Amino acid sequence: MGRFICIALCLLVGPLARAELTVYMRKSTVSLDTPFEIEVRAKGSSVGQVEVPVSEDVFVSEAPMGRQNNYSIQIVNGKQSRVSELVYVYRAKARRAGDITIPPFKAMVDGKEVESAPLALKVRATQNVPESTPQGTESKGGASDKKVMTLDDAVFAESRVDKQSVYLGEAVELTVALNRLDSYGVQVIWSTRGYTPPLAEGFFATQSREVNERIERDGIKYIARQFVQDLYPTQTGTLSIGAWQWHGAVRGITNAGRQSIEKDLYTAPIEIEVKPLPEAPANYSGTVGEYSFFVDFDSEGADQGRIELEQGRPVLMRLTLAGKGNEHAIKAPVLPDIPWAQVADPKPSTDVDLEGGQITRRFVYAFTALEAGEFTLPTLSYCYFSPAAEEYVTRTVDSLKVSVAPSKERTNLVVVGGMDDALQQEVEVVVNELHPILLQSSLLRQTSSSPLLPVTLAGAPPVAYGVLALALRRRRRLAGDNGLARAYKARSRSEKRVAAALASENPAEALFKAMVGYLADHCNVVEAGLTSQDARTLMLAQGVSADLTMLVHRMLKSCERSQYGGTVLSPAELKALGDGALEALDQLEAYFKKGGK
Amino acid sequence: MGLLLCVMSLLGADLFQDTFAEGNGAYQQGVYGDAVAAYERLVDSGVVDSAVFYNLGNSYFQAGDLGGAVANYERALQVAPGHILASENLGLVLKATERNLAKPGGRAWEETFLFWDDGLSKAVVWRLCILFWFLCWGCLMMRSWRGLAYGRSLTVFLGIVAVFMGLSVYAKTWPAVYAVARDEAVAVRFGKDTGHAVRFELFAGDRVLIDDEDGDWLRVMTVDKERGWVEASSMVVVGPPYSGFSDVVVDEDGREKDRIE
Repeated sequence: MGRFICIALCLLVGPLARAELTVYMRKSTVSLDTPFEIEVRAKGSSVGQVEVPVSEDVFVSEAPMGRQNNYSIQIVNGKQSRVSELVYVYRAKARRAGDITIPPFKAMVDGKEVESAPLALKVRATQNVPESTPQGTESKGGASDKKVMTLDDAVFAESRVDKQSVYLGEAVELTVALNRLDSYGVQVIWSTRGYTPPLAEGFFATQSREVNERIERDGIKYIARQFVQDLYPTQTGTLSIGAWQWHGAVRGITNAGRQSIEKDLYTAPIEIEVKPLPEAPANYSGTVGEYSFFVDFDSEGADQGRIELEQGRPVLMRLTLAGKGNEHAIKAPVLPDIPWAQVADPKPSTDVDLEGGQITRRFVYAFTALEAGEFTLPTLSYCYFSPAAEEYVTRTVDSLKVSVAPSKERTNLVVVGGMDDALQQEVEVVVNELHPILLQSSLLRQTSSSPLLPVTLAGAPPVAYGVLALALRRRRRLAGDNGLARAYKARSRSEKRVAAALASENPAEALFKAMVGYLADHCNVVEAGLTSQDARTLMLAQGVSADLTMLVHRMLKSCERSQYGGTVLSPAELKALGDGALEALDQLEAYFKKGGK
Repeated sequence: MGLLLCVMSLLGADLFQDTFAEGNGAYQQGVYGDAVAAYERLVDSGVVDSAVFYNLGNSYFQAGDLGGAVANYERALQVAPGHILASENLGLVLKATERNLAKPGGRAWEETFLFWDDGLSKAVVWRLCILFWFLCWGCLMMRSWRGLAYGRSLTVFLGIVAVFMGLSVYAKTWPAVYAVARDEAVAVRFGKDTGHAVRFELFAGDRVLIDDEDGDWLRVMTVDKERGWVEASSMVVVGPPYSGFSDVVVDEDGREKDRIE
């Protein structure tokens, strides 16, 4: 991670980005058959696919085992550009000892093909036997003859195909095997990813099936875990089945006791030559393989070789193709026109015998004879390409005699309801004569249905419930929060107190208490003992404007002077003070309603 | 404005009563064609009344149109499921049909959940639905406000009843649409063209379910699930919506004289 941060920082302060491809290796000396990693860094604004070199001296995996993107933004002379660096990590393995050179990697960077410098490498020879050619540990007598085998030799991988030259659409059977020594308690532990088939571009691949068996190589017995898969080429030319990689651990009993090593195995890629099909006849179905073709009816007498149908009664007609080939490429046979019958569209179904690779593809038609009499079902044919015969083969089903019995009902058609009592009307006839008409009706009016009424009726209760829920919530809040309750009632309470003050014996004191009480309620403080100065401090603390604070403060001071200074207010002054108090309360209320502080 | 509407409504009601009386008069005099025409005018005016459909059913039957009679008795029973006279007359008319074919079943969910509402009219179910809906929310409000013993269970119960009632209202407002064969023999074909082979035949008064519609063709299904396409002109769609199909001209004896194409 730190390394990539450094790279990113270098890119940030570095010179103007240039398209480049660099290859690194952590070691310059490796052991033969021991996998190592090659790091490829492609730097530029847009980086395309990296082309891996092919060499006889070294095998490099086609697909990278790791990939990382680093981005940086460069600003040069005020111009902003984005530089990306893609880091790929490839697995590689030397195929011979000595000094070897890894050929340059190539990639399209910023629209130009760039290549890395070749990489020199020293490869040490090891005692291990080469891959895929395990060598003997087989005893030829007693235990004293046994050679000691390394765990490296105990497992090898291989991939093979049944043929390397096929026709377009012909199956290629690919077998990928992981073989482990059938002795010394050798076990293999797979990585969590399990089996991943090799990349086979240009092929339609079927699901792989697993086959386990014991094999013998150079007199040594192995347990082979094989994965078999059918590949159907979809294009002509030379197609490649990629290398298969296996990573896991190998356990076994060695001279040093039970040991476990990590191991990477690779199989070589396989090339398949795909030939185009010869010119096709007009009735070619598009299918490749080996098939048999037959037809059968789900009708009486069908097993005795004659087909007996009933007019208007649908039966199932099955056209079956059985053999080997790509089940997905088998198209429904084209039926000739059958004027005396109605044939519905086919319903396809497939049975696959995984063991033998046999495929049975059925097309089931609902076949309804429309006319009674003796008819001939025309010859049915199916044309496919046979790779074994290297020619187009047409399988046919000879014309069949079909005997259509007339419908058992009096009509020649399908009789709905039939004579089945259950399908007859169940209304009991209780009168022999028609009831007379009705001479009066009080409901003679046009029906008009407005969608508004149902919506209103359906919506009213939930709305009422919502209003009630909000009111109850408010009530609960007021009951549980004393401050909120005081603030909520402050206005109405103070208004009542102002009105009462004007009629009281000591109006100045009552007015003072009404105004101070309002502030105390709003700020949830104790009202008793509050002075005009305290009220001013409270208002300023609440963020009330200086003008309004001063106005209220002056009024409170006037009340105090009247209360303690012995000044008796005239009725006009008292009225003015009362109006002023209400005005001030209005302004304060408006301020607090806006949110206050 | 409201007064004007009231006056217009009353005038309209008077007109409808007059037309209804005209139809009744024609029926009693045995001029069934005129009776049909009068009642059909009411239907075309948007009147949905079981008495009109019932009388229309009688008139069609007397005029010899079994399909029209069956369709109108069905309409009367849709509007008023408990209409005994319509039900009994329908039985009588079906007995007169070629094979007394049973009516196809409705939608599966309807038959499963709404087995209880056969005898209830839409208006009754609608009122019950609203009543239970209000009771459900009232219970919920009471429970929130004062607390209510078994309030939750009661609310859930009332809510479920209201939902079932609502389903019934939906089913009665938009019922499965049936059609009745009107011609003596109606060819039901494999496709929507007279060139297609005939799959089976329907006879006048046979009731089928409409499961698709394409231009002048209806895809119908019988009680035993046989399907096919039929020309819409040879069928009477029961509805809703209800529309008149008065194209029959009858002679003085009430027999069908001509049919307006």
